[in-house]
Order: sequence, then structure tokens, then C-alpha cells
Amino acid sequence: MAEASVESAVVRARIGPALLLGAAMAGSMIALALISLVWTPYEPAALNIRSRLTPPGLDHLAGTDALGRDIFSMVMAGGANSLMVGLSAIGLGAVAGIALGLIAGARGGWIEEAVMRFSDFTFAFPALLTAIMLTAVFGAGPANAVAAIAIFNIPVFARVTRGAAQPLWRSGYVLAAQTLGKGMTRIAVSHVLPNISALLIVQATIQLALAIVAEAGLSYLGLGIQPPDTSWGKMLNDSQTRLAQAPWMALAPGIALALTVMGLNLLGDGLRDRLDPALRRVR
Amino acid sequence: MSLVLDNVRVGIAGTGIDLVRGVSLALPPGETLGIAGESGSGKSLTAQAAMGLLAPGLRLDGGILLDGMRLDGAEDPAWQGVRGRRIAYLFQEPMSVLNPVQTVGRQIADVAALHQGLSRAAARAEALGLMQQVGIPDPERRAGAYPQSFSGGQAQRICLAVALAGKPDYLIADEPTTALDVTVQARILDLLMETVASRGMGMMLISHDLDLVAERCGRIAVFYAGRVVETGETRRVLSAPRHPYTAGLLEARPRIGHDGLPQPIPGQVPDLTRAVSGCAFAPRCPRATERCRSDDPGLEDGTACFHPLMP
Repeated sequence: MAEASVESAVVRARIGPALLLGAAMAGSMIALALISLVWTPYEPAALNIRSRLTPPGLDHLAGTDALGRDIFSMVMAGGANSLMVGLSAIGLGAVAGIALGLIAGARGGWIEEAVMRFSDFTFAFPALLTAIMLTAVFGAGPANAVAAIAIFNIPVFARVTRGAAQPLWRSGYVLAAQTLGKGMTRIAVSHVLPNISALLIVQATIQLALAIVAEAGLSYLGLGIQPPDTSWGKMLNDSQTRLAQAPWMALAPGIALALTVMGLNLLGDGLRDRLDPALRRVR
Repeated sequence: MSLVLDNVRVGIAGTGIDLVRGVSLALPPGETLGIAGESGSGKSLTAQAAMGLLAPGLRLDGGILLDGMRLDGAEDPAWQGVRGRRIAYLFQEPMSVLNPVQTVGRQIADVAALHQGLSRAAARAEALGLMQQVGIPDPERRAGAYPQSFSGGQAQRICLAVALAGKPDYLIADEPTTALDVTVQARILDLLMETVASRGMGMMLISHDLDLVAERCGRIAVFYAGRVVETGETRRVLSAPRHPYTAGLLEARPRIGHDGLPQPIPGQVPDLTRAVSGCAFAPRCPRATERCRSDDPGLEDGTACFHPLMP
């Protein structure tokens, strides 16, 4: 009995409140988004002029907008779209960035210089502004939004990967792998990458929060998700002309966005505390 | 058929500084060659040169020949066919050379798959067999464990299994038991000797411990200041050393059943960042003459000395 409670206390201390809270916040929003794929209380795009601008109540949990659409359903469906854009952007950015970071760390020399200077170059521009410019030039729409956000995640992942991998290239097991006749690529994939994956997972979580904010920003400006589809940023834009008249139109997507972003950040911090070997040693 | 180092020099690139100053060794299959010498005498650098794995910033001169094939100056792909498959390396710190996030079974199997071209299942079976051979009890279960859950001695056994997975013909064991408990040392060395003998492999056993080398190796090469000062059959070298440094080393050992304290060699090892003229041991040598300080004694008849001790 006593042993079990000590053990669960240890488990709780290791997981930490930030991790639990973050997982709960982000998890609930992600769950709502996933549920929207199969079920929403109302059809998110269905107009119902008779019940337009209804305040939150039993019929419409988060009220309706100027066209009578159910806001709660729109938040659910919009969340799915936002997450989809965010996840694809992070996925693309992470794959390209990690690959570049690994190559830079493994090869060194001018390849490393080129990758790192490319990173510096992209960091010199405000990410969101350039994403706006890119979508403005290449056309609005989810695919271009994904590309624009992904581009700014490449240098982030490239840097983190190279920085974390650099000491590993001089580690005993990399040297040992070389004495066994393994090539650079094989060593990078089977020895270096698995040893930095924890760090990359943490980074990806935090970048996902940023990507969702970026997507909201683009959609708010009409450059991301296009009608009849919706997203949190687009809903915020729709709400601003009616802010005095129907504040709930802004409240629901705002809360959804805040919960998701805060949740993902807390989750990232919690994961870092849990997974980062440097911090683990300090404790 | 042998691994040959021909006048190997390892220096710091861009300078005239040599850390290994012309080492020639031959290791035929089936033989164990002991490499003895103090820290900084160039033992490990010589071994790393033989694997083509010198740290960046070091320069290699001289020849490295494997069964007549020239390896010095070879490109990476050629070396990759040699490392692990023809020559394997056993490190001093078994814990730091195993990948902490891969199961030991997979680390062994990966090398077997790479060098023997085995399928996944066959490589796994090979890994289990190797674990059995190196004396890991219950390989089925232990193959799924991570390196951290092994003791130092067991980890070195795993490292040996990894090294054997490519079926190499030569093994370079660089202080393989220095990081281990004394009681474990002997067992690991016995395992090493048995393994090498049963597979007919040639082994270079590097150690600063003269007694350890003496007990296990047929031939021995004594290193001093980046050079072989004496080489020959271990029994002869230890019972009738010719080089004054070897004799001094033997006097400096504590011995059981021997009255009197060990006698240290006076003086210090030379600073190799400055040019060495004549014999590097001359400043510490009781037999040194003018000639020793000006002329370089080459390795002749197994001894690099103008005034060898004669039995």
C-alpha cells in the first residue's frame, strides 16, 4: 500500500503539473477537432437566418453568427482545419529541417556554413510578415499557407538538430560505429537521430503552437483557409464588425485558440523537463 | 596475409610535430601482439591510424597494408569495407561506445546484417549466438535490454560481440580492461584470448600494463615517445630485455616475492612538440653516450639502442 502511493507520487512528480495541464488543454481541443470530422452539433456551414446572432444558450452552446451558423460547430470544424494546416506545416518543416541539420552536422565545412547561413537569412525576416507576403504573391489558400509556415520551421529544426547532434558526432558510440564500417548516413539515422529525438519532439510541440497562431493570422487576413471552410482566424475576422453586438462570436474561437496554444506550450515545457537529459541530471 | 604498418608517422597537420615517429609492425592472423608503453607513447594513435580513423587535424605518413592491399590514403568507401569486416576495434570504455537508445541485440544484429548481408531474422539469431559465445546468460531476454542495464564487464562482452558480428580477421583491443574491476579484467581477457584463438584472428592488445601483456601475448612491442624501442618474443623481451627503457620498466613494476621497492625511471618523457635529436630516451638513460644524443638509433635486431644490454 505505502509502496504503491510512494511510487505514484514519484510518477506524478516526474510527469509534473505543467505536462498534465498542457496535455489536458491541448488534448481537449484536439479531441473536439477530431470529433468534428465525424459529428458536429449542427452542420458548420449551414445557414439559418431565422436564428441569426443568437447568444449562447442550450440550443446553440456558443451562440450563432450573423448568418445563423452554429459557432460551436464552427469552432470544432475550424479547429480541424487549423490543426491540419499546423501539423502539415510542422511535418514538412521538421523533415526538411532535421535532414539539413543532420547533413550540416555530419559533413561540416561549406555545407554546414551554407545551411547555417540560410538559417540566419530566414531568421532575419519576421516569419508572419513573410508568410503573408508569400501567400499574397502565390495566392491565398491552405496549401500555400502550409508552405509559407513550413519554410519558417525549416531553419528552426535545422538549428536545433545540428546543435544537439554536434556533440554526438564526437561521442564514443559514433566513433565506435565508424570503426564498424558504418557510413555517415547510417550513423546519422541510426545513432545520432534517436539520441536527439526527445529534444525534437519538444521543439515540434512548441512549433506546432506557433504554427497554429500563424495559420490563425493568415486566415484572419483572408490568406489561409477559404470559405465555405472555416478556421479560428477567419471566425475572429468575421466577428470583429459585430464585436459590440455579438461578443460571443469572438469569444469562442479566441478561447479555443488560447487553450490550444497555451496547452501546447505547457505540454512542450513539461515534455522538456521530462525528457531533456541535461535537465534530468540537474534534478 | 597480415596487417602491416610500415614506418607510420602521425603528426599534427600543418606543423612539423610528430606524435608517432615511424612505427613498423606486422600482425599475422592467429597471432597476438602486445603493445606496451606509457600514456602518450603513441599506442592508441598508432591503432587509430591502422583503422584510418585519426582525429581531424592529424596527418598520417607511411604505409598501412592489409593482406597486401594499400589502405593509407584510401577513400571512405574502401575503408568502410575494412572497418568492422576485416579489422574490428575494442574500446577502453564499453559504456560510452554502446548507443544508449538501442537495445544491445539490435546493435549486434545491425553489424551482422551490414557485414554478413544477413536478413533481419538471421541477424538476430546471429546476435543471440554471439551473446551466448561472449558469456551473456539468457541472451533471449538480455538482447532486448539497453546498455545501461549491463555492468561494465558485461558491457565489454557486448562490445566484443558487436566487434565479432562482422566476422573480422583482426582485432585491435585498445586497453580493453582498463576501465574494469580487477576481478573482471582477468575473465574478460581470458574470453578475449579464447575467442581470438578459436577464430584464428590476429589481435593487437594495447595496454600500459606490462604484466597483462606479458601473460597473454606471443610477441610484444614496447613503445616509447612515439616509437617502438624494443620488440620480439615476449618471453625473451621480459627475461632478457635489451633496451634500457624496457629494463627500467621491468624494474619499476611492483613484484610479489621480490624484496625492495620498485625502482622508478628517473627523469620525464620528452616533450614531442620540440624536435628530438638522437635517441628520445637518452636524457634518462644510464648507458647514454655522446652518440645517443646526436644520432638516431634505428630499430635493429628488435632493439633501437646503440648500447643494448647483453645477456
